[in-house]
Amino acid sequence: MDNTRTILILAVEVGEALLQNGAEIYRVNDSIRNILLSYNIQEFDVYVLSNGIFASADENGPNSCSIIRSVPFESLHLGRLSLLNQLTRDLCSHSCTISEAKKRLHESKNAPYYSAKVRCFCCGIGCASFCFLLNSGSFAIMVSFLLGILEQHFLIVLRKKNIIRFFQASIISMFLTSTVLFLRNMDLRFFQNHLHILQDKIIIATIIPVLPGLSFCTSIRDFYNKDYLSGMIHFIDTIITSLSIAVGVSIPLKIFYQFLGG
Amino acid sequence: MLISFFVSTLAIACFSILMSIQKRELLLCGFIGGISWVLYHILQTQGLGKSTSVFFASLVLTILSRAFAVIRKTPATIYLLPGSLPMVPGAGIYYSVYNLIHGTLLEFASKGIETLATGIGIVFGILIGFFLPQKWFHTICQKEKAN
Repeated sequence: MDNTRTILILAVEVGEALLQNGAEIYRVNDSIRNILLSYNIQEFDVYVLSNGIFASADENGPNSCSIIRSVPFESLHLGRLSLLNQLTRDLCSHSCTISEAKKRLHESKNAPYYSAKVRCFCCGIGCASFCFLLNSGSFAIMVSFLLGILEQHFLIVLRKKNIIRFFQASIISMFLTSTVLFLRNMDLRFFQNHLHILQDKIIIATIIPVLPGLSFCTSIRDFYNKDYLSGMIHFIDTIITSLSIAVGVSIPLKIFYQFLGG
Repeated sequence: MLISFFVSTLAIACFSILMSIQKRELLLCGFIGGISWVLYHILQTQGLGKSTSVFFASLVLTILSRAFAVIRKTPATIYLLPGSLPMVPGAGIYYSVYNLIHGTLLEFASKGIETLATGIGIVFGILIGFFLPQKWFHTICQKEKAN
């Protein structure tokens, strides 16, 4: 009977999908353990890192098996996360069969993103709203709306080309800063500062989508659950992303002030 | 204040779309984020420091998202993440780099330390929010269901 094996594979695959979509270590560990426990599997052990899962079950029995999965970080999709969470809940209460669960796992792994147009538009609205919250003028809000749309479009293109995330953050912040500085200069020279483009507010509002919010939150929660190693991995990710944003902002600033004097 | 609550709700709901959160959770995400943003703003205008107000705002954010996570049976991350996004100190990163470029090193140091302190404020807000035992949330949630 290879029941142990099927369930272990299912549980680890659920865990893998959770981990890929930005779950914290504690949740993945708990989900796998609870699924295995609810199917009465003995002598199992699970070890989860932020980029890998190791699990074995029925160690001294005839059906002993073990699985190792390497999980590269893909992309953030919190909708999938909550679908998978529901699936785990249903599996633990035995309200869905294993074949059904496999189908649902496949469905939730491939749950669609919002369409590119919707995402671009929403990014624009979000950036514009933050620009408003920072007390800037109506023209600045319009600029940040347009920049937000462009930014999200850029991000989608960069993600398709599989460029490293740190570099993405750098490129995006470089693009934002140089556009805003250019507009500011135009404003000063041709409109005598009537448009009230305040570079800092626009940049701060439009930079929000590339900030490392996910890895920051996850690292705190990993530390809280005493998963220090995985917490450290996410923490370093946060710091490097912030530094690459800083680099992306500083290069255009330096060039502009060197050659145009402000 | 009401306007800024609505605008921040709108903004956070929009950013939740970027994180592909399901449609039925979007408004709630925005609502929770809006509350914590307004709280952050009020505390700051009352003269509390940036890191202190971020601390209290993220504490409230964590408690609210844990409560709603129990009620709606979803992971708390879904509410926590979009809500904390505007509080992550993007402004601090910008200003410290700006001052570094201009050679005003004293300003750079003070802005850099402020950024760090804000980050630490968020960390402790979230951590202390998670220290509350899960049982409390379950009992509150069950009371609400009984009503």
